[in-house]
Amino acid sequence: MGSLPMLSILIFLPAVAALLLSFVPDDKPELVKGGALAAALADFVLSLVALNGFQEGAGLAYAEAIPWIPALHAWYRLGVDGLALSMVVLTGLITPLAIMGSWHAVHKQLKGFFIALLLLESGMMGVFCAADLLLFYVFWEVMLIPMALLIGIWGGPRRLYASVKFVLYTMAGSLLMFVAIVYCWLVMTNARGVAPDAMFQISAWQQALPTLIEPTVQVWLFLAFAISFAIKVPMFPVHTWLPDAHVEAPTAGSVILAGVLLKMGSYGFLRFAIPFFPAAAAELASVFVWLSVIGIVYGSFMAMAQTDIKKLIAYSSVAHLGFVMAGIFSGTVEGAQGGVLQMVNHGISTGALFLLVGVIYERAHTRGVKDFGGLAKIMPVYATIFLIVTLSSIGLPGTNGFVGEFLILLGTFQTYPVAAVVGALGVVLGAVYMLTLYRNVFFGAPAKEEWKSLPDMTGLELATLAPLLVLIFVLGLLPTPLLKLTEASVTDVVTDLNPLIDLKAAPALVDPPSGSPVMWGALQRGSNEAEAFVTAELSR
Amino acid sequence: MTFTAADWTTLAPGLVVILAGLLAVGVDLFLPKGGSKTPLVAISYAGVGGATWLLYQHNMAGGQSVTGFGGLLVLDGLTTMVSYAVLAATALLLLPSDVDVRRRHVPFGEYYGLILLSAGAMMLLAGSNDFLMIFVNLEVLSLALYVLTGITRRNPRSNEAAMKYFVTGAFATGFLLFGIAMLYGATGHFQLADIGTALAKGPVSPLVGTGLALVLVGFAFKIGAVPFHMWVPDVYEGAPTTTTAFMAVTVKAAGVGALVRILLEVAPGQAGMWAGLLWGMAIATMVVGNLVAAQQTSVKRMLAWSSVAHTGYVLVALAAMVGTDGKFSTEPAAAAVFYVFSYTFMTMGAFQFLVYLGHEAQGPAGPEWQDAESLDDLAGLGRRRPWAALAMTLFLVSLGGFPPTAGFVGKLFLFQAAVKQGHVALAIIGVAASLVSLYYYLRVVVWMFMKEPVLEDEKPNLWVGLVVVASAVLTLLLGLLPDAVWQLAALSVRGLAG
Repeated sequence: MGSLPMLSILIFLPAVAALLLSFVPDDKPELVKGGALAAALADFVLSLVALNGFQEGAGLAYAEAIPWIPALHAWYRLGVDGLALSMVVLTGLITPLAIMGSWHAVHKQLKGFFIALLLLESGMMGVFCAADLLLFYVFWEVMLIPMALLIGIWGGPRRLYASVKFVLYTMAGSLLMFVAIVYCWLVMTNARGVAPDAMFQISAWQQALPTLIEPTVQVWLFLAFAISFAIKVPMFPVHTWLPDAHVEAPTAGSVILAGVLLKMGSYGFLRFAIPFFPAAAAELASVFVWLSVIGIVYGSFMAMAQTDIKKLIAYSSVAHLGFVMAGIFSGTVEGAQGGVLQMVNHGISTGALFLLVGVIYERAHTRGVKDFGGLAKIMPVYATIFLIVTLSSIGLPGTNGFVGEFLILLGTFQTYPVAAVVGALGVVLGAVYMLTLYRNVFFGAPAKEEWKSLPDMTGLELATLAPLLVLIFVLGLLPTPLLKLTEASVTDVVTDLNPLIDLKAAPALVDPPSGSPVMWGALQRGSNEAEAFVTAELSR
Repeated sequence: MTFTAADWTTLAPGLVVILAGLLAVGVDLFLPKGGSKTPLVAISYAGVGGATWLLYQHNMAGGQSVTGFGGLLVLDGLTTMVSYAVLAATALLLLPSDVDVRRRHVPFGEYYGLILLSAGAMMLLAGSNDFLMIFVNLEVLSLALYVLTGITRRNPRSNEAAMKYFVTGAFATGFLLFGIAMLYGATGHFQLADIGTALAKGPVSPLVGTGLALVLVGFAFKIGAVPFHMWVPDVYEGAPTTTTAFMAVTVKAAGVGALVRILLEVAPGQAGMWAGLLWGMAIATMVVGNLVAAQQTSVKRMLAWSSVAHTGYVLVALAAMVGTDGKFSTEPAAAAVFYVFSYTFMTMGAFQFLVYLGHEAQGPAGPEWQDAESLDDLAGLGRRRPWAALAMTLFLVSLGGFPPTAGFVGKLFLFQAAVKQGHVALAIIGVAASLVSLYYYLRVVVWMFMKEPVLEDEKPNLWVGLVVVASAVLTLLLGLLPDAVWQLAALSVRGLAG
């Protein structure tokens, strides 16, 4: 693919498509939907091509660099490493599914809806591809507007409240980060030995900032970045916007929110907050691990108490992201790798859950946990798929959720054993609320007579969910390629947090060429057995 | 008395605009009443275009700083930059002027004459290197604006606004004049550079501090800085929206331009006397402007308060010229100049958007034109007129400092310059104020896109729409590719400050 500006195309293809769609007349909804889907699919294919051609190298892959604001030495600079690329592919995957998931769900201003979705995709791609801090910040902010519009225009009854809350929370964080960015930029400009062109370059910041800034100052800057990302994740106690946003957002909005947007927070920690200010991050790591663990337990308990399915899943997201953050801050390879894996997993399983809620909501126009019952007999296919996703969400061996949570707990236990034990409680609680949800919705007698005539899933809905189902098992049984892809990016963060760690002594998680290490083999075997079990259960 | 080439070079751009204005008044007398007034538009554009051409030629010829009339006027980067902003605003304002004047029942000749007169005076103000020139030009532009504010004679609100503007404006003039007198008394000079030299040389009279403070107060009135901002919301709200658009952007550009020149030429050495004052005013202006804007239900009044808030951001840059370590730098001044330049397009666009959505209403004296003002006027607009709503969204997010717009880059330059000078507190307050501002800017977006329509009686006009579109394009363009303009802004202050 040589000289083709791969990442620029990835970023701007959806935006250009959105621009073209805006000229389509309003009375051709099929054309709008088809065009949006085609663009999103093309972007997905492109992201796969990028993945296929990806080679771990010294710098970032697919690098592009054009001067942007020379006065500030800001560049239009793109490039991806394994971590960013996995997020790019996740974005590429989730967006077309979100479009398919809202095929029949949009009843007003249909054109605007799909345009907003495509613009959102452009923004998300930009966030993950940016290799210059100012550019990153621009994409980070730009993305907010379409998301806020998605919630605010096409959302539920309290959409205005949710939309404004979403914007104000994220903006409060972003502006803090903005001040920190300006300050760091100043440090870079005043430093000797930094090439002028690299003033805003992320990799240059990663190299230079840790030694340039005093640890005491680092703490403040780290907090400025961390609060911004923690809001996005969202970590306890700045998570309160998420349930509102999720409940009010349309299906596509929820799917993208859960699937990609939340990942930007943890991505931010991995890419910016920790590498820029390792001393501060190492010092505060225990705080963040404990906040994550509180998030896990608190999110789980809140999920148990919910009567709205979407709100339940939203709180389960708080718990799942708690796992991710605990893993990242554990300062171990296992934990961080598990955290990254869990980022992808959560995108897949929670994205699928929101799509599934969308399916039932379109039919029944209600989302109450207690409003259904007995759907297993009425919609068997739906019930089966819901079960698989539920099991993935609670981390049953054989599904993707298991590998992620297992690695996270394994890693966290080495450095924060007490926190890991408390966090492990979340696994149990997760099973409690998800299985209770499943029982309430699918077993027993239907709450209403009219539910008996609910049609099962359509071909389109199946096609929407199929890729996610496949991935649940693929990542559950073969997580190695993904772990390998993100390994290099993650080990840097681990050494930042835990400078004393002996990477060689850590059990090799990835790349067991032939003789797989003991732990890994056990993991694989466990997965295989569980997979066999689930398949057997389902085929009965 | 003979004119030299240098005299002409410094005077010509402003003079061309003013002459075009006078010509428009004269020609209007010979045009049939009720007939086509297109010649007036043509004359006005000829003036604006001629001035732009002169400035451009000067730039192309190297853009050297030229001093004319023995130091009264100067044509340098700062003059050019402010003039470009004023000319751009005037050109945008003139585009729909024919239909606008007609439906507001405003006398034609006077309208064009006054607009061009004030625009010319603003350009000359930016080039004034002498307190007498500054005073005269400030008065000319103010007088023209007083009349423009009250130009819809049958509208009581417009009249009230004009009266208020005039009284407070006269008050401000008094302060300014008194300050100038004191500086003259202390140094014996009117010319900025001479005063600067005198101050640098010898013992500084106690009059200087008071004089400088009074001059600052005078300018603070004109650009609407807290606590001298009381007139802004009332005048901006009462004036016809086209006039509001014009004065919101141009007075700020010209006033800030002149203030930058005064501070850099006269008093870089006397930083202790004014830096603290500006620092306090910057904070007060940002805080008060934003907090009060958040309370408004009228979009027009909200934009007026937001204009106060934006004066605060500019003051951040001016205050930051003096670092916390006492180091003096002109870079923040460049940021201020860039900011007022980029502010031109988003504000012009936002106000013209309100004109675009105006409608014919029944006034006390027959039908009269009413611009959109309340949030209700805009409710549900996203569905009726998605493109207009989108353009307004762009202006609002730009005002709020959201990327990738001019407002974001402007704030980036501002806060970066402030932090560089050690003013982290100013930057943090500015950023916090921006967060508050997002709340009320986005509320308009919420109303446009997420509410059901209340009124749908707007009578959009193609020409006004064109201004909105042009402003939107420029706002976006300045946000994406700010470098060329930034270079001009950086150049504009480099030669100043002895």
